[in-house]
Amino acid sequence: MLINNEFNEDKIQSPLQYTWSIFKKKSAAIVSMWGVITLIFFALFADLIVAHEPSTQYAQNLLLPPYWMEGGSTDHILGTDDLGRDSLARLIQGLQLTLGGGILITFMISLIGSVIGASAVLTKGIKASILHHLLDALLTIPTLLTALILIVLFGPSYENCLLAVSLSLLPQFIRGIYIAIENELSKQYIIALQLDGATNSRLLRFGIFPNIIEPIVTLLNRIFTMAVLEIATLGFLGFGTQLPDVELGSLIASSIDLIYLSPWLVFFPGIAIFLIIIIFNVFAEGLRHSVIEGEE
Amino acid sequence: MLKYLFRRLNLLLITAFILTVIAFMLQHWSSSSIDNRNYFMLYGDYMANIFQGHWGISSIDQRPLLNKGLIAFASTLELCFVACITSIIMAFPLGILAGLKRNGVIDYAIMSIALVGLAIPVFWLAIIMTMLPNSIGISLPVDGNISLVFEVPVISGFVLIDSLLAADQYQMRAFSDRVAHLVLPAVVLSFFLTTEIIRLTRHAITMVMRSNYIKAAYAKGLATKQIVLRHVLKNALPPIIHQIRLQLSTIISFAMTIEIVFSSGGAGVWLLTSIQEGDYLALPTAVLIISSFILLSSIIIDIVLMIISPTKRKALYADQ
Amino acid sequence: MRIIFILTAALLLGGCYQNESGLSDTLLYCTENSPQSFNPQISHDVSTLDATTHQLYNRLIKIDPTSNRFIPDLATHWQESEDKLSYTFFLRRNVNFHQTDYFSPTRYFNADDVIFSFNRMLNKNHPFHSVNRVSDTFFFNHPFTDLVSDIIKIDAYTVKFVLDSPDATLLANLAAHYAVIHSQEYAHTLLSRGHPEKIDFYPVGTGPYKFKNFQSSRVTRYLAHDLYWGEKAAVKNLIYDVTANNTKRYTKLLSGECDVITYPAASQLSKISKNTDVVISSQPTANIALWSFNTSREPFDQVEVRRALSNAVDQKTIVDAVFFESANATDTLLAKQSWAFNPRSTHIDYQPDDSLTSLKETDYDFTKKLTILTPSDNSVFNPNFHKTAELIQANLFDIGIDSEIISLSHAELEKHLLSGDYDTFITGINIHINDPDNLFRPLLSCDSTVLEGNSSRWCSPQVQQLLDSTLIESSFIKRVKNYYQLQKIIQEQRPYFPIAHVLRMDAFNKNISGLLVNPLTGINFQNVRKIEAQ
Repeated sequence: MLINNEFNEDKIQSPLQYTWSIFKKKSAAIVSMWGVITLIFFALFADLIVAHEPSTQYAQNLLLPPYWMEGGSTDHILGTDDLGRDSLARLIQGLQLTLGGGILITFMISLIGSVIGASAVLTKGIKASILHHLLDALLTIPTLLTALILIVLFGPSYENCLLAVSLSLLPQFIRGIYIAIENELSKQYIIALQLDGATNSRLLRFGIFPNIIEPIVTLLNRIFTMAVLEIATLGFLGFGTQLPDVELGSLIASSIDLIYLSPWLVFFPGIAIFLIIIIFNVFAEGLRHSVIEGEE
Repeated sequence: MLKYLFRRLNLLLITAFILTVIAFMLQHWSSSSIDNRNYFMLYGDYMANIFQGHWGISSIDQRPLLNKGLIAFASTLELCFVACITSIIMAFPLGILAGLKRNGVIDYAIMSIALVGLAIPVFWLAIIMTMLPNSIGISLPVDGNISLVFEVPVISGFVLIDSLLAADQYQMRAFSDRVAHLVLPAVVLSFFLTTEIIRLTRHAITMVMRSNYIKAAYAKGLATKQIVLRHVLKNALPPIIHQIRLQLSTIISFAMTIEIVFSSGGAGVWLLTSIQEGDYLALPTAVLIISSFILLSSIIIDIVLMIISPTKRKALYADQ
Repeated sequence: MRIIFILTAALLLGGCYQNESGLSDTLLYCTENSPQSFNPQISHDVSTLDATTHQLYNRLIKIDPTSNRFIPDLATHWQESEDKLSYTFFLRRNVNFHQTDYFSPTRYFNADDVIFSFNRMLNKNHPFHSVNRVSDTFFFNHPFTDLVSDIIKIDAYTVKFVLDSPDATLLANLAAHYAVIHSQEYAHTLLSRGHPEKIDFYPVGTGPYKFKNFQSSRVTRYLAHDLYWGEKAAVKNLIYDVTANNTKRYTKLLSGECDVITYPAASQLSKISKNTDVVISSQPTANIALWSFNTSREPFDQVEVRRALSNAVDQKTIVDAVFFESANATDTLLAKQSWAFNPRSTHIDYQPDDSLTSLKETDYDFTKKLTILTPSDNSVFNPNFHKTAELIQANLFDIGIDSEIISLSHAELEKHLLSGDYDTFITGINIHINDPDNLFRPLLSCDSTVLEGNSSRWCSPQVQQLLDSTLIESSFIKRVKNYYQLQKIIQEQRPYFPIAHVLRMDAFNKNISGLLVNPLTGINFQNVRKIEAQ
């Protein structure tokens, strides 16, 4: 067979490159990717970006409206709160904890969940059975209840809030990954690999994993969305971050008394949560489509 | 069939056992009584009390916790139920449309709306909704389960039913007042639920449409409408119900949050006030009530699914 | 698409829906807290007074809100003896007590009921004296319990109050909230049933409203007393609803779920006053928000430090940001409207630079972290403790003092206060009786505990002597003089930094008329009328 190396080099790309080349063509996906990068950048380097310290009180500028409204000032683009603190600075501080918590939870769950899920598929019998029942039990306790239990036991704190959210989302992820792996396992190429004598880890790494990227992306996106929503919900109910730290949900809770006077203090954190979820979802959707198209 | 039922029952018992252990540990911790007997004995006592209906007394108003918890949870369920019905009515057609016209303009439009619905935090939407009636000039109640003018006796715990039962005293006024009180919370919860159902329906429809029997049906010359009604819906329904089952706990969580914002007397408000007042025994009670509801309904859904979908039944036999 | 659908459905429903509180025979009053009991003799909190004094009970005499004179209530007229040691009251006839599910009166109100009501407070051996008694101090109103030596029944409709020494405050005391008349017959019934404690929770009185029920510590229902001796209440059903969140209360007022609300959110007052459908009633009170220094602890035992810290705090910003228009900034503990108010009080200036200089002179340890203790729940004398603390923290930071806010819930807070482990505490005091002693004693007496109000742990022999001697002083001029001196000392010593005297605020829809609010005895619904909503 004649092999033309030069020609081939142009054509054959690694799966990652190939997926990227598809991804690149989707304008919505690219925009959302830049959105994700911006959000993470904001969260990481909040202190460098904002012009004001989130805790500095400008006593002569209480409850300023955003700058485009009457009475607003370009010094405080999104206005100030009832203690004269810069809204934008506090929003970005809140973003740090909400977004950071969401990403951290997604990351931890994907690590722990993959290990548990994969080993559950590959081991049968009593161990798997115990795991199933435990997961079933955990799945039946609503997040809010899990959070309340932890808070009553250990007191309200940001860490406990993250723990409660993780505990409620972990079973869902394990379930998802379990089903995905099991679907793959029954396929013939896996059986072929098994007949070849592949070890379990090899089977997972080279056989199953590349074929379940799409469901994993969907699952992770889902976990991330729910994590952000639940962190914000717990923060709003006062079970998450404690003052003086702020998180988007607790920011809403602390401004709720001002809703008639300066509604934007309630609107902006809500819109921030909304944007986080929209941007990450569009990004994940773009990624998923690229993966699917790449496979086809 | 019997074997399957037996397996589900087995699952129920084991899960219920784990739940009671969790509840027992909570109870033991929160009552903080010093008792030197071992945990097995204490657990035995605890379970005996649970079965006899002695779930403890609320330290706030000295009423039995079981009774309080059930009444509170009934009102949460009522909210979930109403929201579910409205969401299904709205989301099903949209989801089917999106699934059939996959990747078309209509699909993108519907999915964009669904994404917006998912991304709005429920508690935030609830706050906005409490402001809404006044700002657009309509008169809708924003607080509580039912107007305090009505003293509806608690019979079933479900205020909709109780207010109907009290019709000889208030005619339909109490009932319509209850319905009005449900509108805003149900709208908020529906936002989230509708999003979920659209997403699930669209996915399920797409999966079914790809399958060979649908292609065969097309080959037979059936019209799209007939195919959808005759084959697609029947096959798409089980996975949708299955997924919703997995989300029951999320739905209840959100319902409780919404209740807290609207201060309707459901499980959310009950737990929140109990914890604030130091009545920690409410927690194990809530764990048992809410979890056993989710557990039981999951199992019922499983059984129903098995009855309506033969493929699933087959899969279960083959699985073992 | 579906959003529009939902909204249309909601709109349709909203259109058809007639708010139930639109009924003119029902009035919903949304309050901040539920009453501690239904007896103002034993509970002096605002919620109890609002729920009881004017609604459920009558007193022998009351004060006319416009002329400030004593006018008859259950006593038709009264006589003062020549030696000013006894007062004879002639009682109203044919006055009915409430007929309720739990009690049916068989006789009219008479002298026995007066004697029973007062003896419960005055006589330590009275069978009801210790019923529901939760605290040893200030349970029944203190100066009053030592005032009267005996109450004599002349005949069924005449009673005589006998005093040890002449005291002009007797009439004022009899018009105060704790001088309400209970039914002796009901008390005897309860004793024979073995449940005397019910007297304070299933009340029976002679007032324009009678008790119907109290549900899940949130809702109280009253019915109009159809056999009331005076003009009967126009509103048949009076419902009290506890809505703790003040934003929610205002939202409910707008949505028609409340007709009258107490304490609308301070931050919303400017907005509310622009709303032409809502009327705001505001009354000055003696309730005061304070920042107290723990004088039992270094370095706050030095007056220079206390004065310097007071000068470092920007009172105006606190009042603007926390209280908005719901309070008047003040430099004194006593409110301006009090007869003992010393007009020659010095203004506490916001002078951070001077404060820093004087702190340096006292060798203040700037490396030490100062603690600011705050309650986590808000109260009638401060709409937002945490916000107040944050503002003070920022002020202290400006002069180089690092501070830490410790926000605690009720039970934890009490423990912390008793242990004395705090530098400063953001607090306040709720005044029930228009007498300066009622303000100064809890805050400044050596006998007063931290929980009673003395959170600065202040104890000075001179102040104590002034407090005690003024209480028994009969000459009015002497009393005023003594209180002037006391205020001067406190102004200099500054164990407390006064922040503001709060206003009693209520808001109601404009279809409500005839509502009276007395900052000392509570709200009065007797003459309220409601025009049916269109």
